[in-house]
Amino acid sequence: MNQSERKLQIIHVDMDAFYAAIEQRDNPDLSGKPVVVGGRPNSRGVVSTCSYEARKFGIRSAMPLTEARRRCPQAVFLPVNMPKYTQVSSQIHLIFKDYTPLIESISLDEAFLDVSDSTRLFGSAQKIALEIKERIKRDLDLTASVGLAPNKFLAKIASDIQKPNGLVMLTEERIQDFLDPLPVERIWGVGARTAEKLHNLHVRTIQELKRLDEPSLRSHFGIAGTRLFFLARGIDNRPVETDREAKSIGRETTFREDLSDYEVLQAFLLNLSADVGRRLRKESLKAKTVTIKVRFADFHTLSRSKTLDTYINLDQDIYLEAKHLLLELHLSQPVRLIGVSVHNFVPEEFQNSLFEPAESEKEKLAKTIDAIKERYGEKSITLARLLNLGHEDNL
Amino acid sequence: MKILCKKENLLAGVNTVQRAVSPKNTLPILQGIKLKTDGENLWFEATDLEIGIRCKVPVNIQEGGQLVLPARLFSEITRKLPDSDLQIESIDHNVKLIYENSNFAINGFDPEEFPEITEISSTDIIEIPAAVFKNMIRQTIFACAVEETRPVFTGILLQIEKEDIYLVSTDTHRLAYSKAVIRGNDKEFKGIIPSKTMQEIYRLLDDNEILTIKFSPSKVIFHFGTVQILTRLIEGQFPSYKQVIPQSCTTKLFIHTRRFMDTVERASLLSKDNYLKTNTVRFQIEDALIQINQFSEMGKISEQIEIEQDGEDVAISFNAKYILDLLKVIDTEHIIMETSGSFSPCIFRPENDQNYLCLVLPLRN
Repeated sequence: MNQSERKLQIIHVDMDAFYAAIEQRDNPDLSGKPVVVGGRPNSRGVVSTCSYEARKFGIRSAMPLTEARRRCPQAVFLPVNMPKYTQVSSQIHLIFKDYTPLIESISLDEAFLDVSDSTRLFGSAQKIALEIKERIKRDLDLTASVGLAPNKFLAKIASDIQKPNGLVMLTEERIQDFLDPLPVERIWGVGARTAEKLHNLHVRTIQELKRLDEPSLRSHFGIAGTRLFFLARGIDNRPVETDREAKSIGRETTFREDLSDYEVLQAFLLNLSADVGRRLRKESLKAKTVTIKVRFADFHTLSRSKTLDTYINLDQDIYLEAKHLLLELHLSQPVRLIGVSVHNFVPEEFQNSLFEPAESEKEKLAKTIDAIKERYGEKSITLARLLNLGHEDNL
Repeated sequence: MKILCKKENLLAGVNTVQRAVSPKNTLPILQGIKLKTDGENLWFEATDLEIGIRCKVPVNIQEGGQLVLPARLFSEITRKLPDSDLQIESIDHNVKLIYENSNFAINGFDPEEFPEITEISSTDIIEIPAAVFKNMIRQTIFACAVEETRPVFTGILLQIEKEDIYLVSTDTHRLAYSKAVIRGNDKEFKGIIPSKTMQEIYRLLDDNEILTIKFSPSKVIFHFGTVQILTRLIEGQFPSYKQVIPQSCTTKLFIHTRRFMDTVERASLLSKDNYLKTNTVRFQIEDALIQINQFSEMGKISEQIEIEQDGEDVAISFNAKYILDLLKVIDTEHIIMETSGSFSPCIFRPENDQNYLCLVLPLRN
């Protein structure tokens, strides 16, 4: 059978309220209670995960902890115990590995499995999906929502539709009936802004989305429009990517107190850019897209990206783009957090160009500074401009 | 329009022009193939505005005309038709293929909208044997850049200078250069031909034909047999390649091509899966031997090849793909490798042939 005829069977496993569920499992006093994992309720952090009991009070992931406490004062607030969750996650992975080597972890609590070629050994994909779900329950006493479908997009929607403790299997024939009534927000990549644009076009469901042809979707949404066109028809050719390589490198910092001085913000951006640049060079990568993230005092968060014509990894180049992006933003209120990240990587060229000098002076300088920091420590050499940031920054 | 023909006539025309159709073009008319009668011939035409291909096929014309059919459907139905006599009829834009006691109707496009693949009014013409030009394409096209960030590197430079014709390609890491002679020419030309055009010429050109190249400052047309390929040129300045070809070397090697290729292929099995995906192969050259000692998490290889060595010992690393690409297009039993240390561009050329070379930059460690 050739590659294109090979019928794909993709399973998406999404653990239910993962961090909170682990805490409830390990401390029976918590079961049945609203549990919020994220930190102390009066700290400046956000909700990382909350139990289904807490969700009834309107608490959601990424909500400020103070807000969570306002909504449900009796909730139990717990710190994030990352080592424990990581360990449980790897136990779950061991279960996955019994069925296929093709595992793509999205996060600690979520993964795609390609079981297309596992069926000869383990029986039908349906059987595998059910077994995985049962083993997670039996061996780890946790519940997972599982979706089985012919591609990643559909598998993810399927796992999401009957949460918690769901098991939804989509066969080819049922795809369109299943998709049609769903709101467009269910589509991967459709966020608030795209959804609003679609609503303005009188599109609320996937069925309505199918009325728009590719050229018109393209004219409204660019390349993302083409993707929408295919996703609305249940078509998604992204393979399950094992050993996911880092797709972005970024750094962000929350200030001790909110800042509104552009000069100071820029100094922080420079510091973050230098850090990102150094990590890029350490990985021998160059990046094409620079993104900044700004969170305001009221938690309203913006991000702005720019994709360049060339690939960069020098601190100054990253900073210059980040600074432009910041200056283009209208800062209507003080800033609570700022971040810089880069993505769209290529390996740094070990291969020179026949028509350009092998290594520019700037590249040599950056590498020398990296080497000094590597040997004598972070504080051994820095830009004069960053000196007065001193220990103020909590990077 | 009304014509009588055979399935094979249609198939020949469709197969020739089909690759110029751009299936995803925003202009729907460009997804079509145009058919146009002319005397006893039916012309097939397709274009994506960068390349245009025309070819003529003899058919029996009852009534002249022109039509444009959606390429995909037209080519698929053509392939699936029975091997019988065919009749093609059109009324307005609708076309009927009549075969045996059946017919297949296709809704066509308005032929007036189809862009004209015009002749160029230039008298600058050269002729070159097809086999020679095909080999020049084969020996250079692999070095074109694939990424479209810098368009000049995605094409092949065609340079005509008195009695010499050159094809040169580079992706900035390597450069392939091929030269031939056109006796009696006094025309001059320099332009970058898209590699897609060159690929089509290579595919369609028959070794026994004579290729005619007609050029103007912005377009070039290639004629051979019943085919015409018109191409746009890539704008921009091709780098001055002659300056980067070293005129001397410190080490000169004479290597058995086949053995060298087999060794590099085996070594690259271990290098192409390393996590940087650099596909590095490292040659240790000393005492008339090339030694390769390579390892990865997966395993290790150690090989040596006897060579003739003239000059200094050297250790030098390359992207294995670049070496394999050039070894595949060099047909002589031995190749000559000329280097000047681990960091300078290295020349590879066939033995006894001054008309071809491939330049490769080593990898820095």
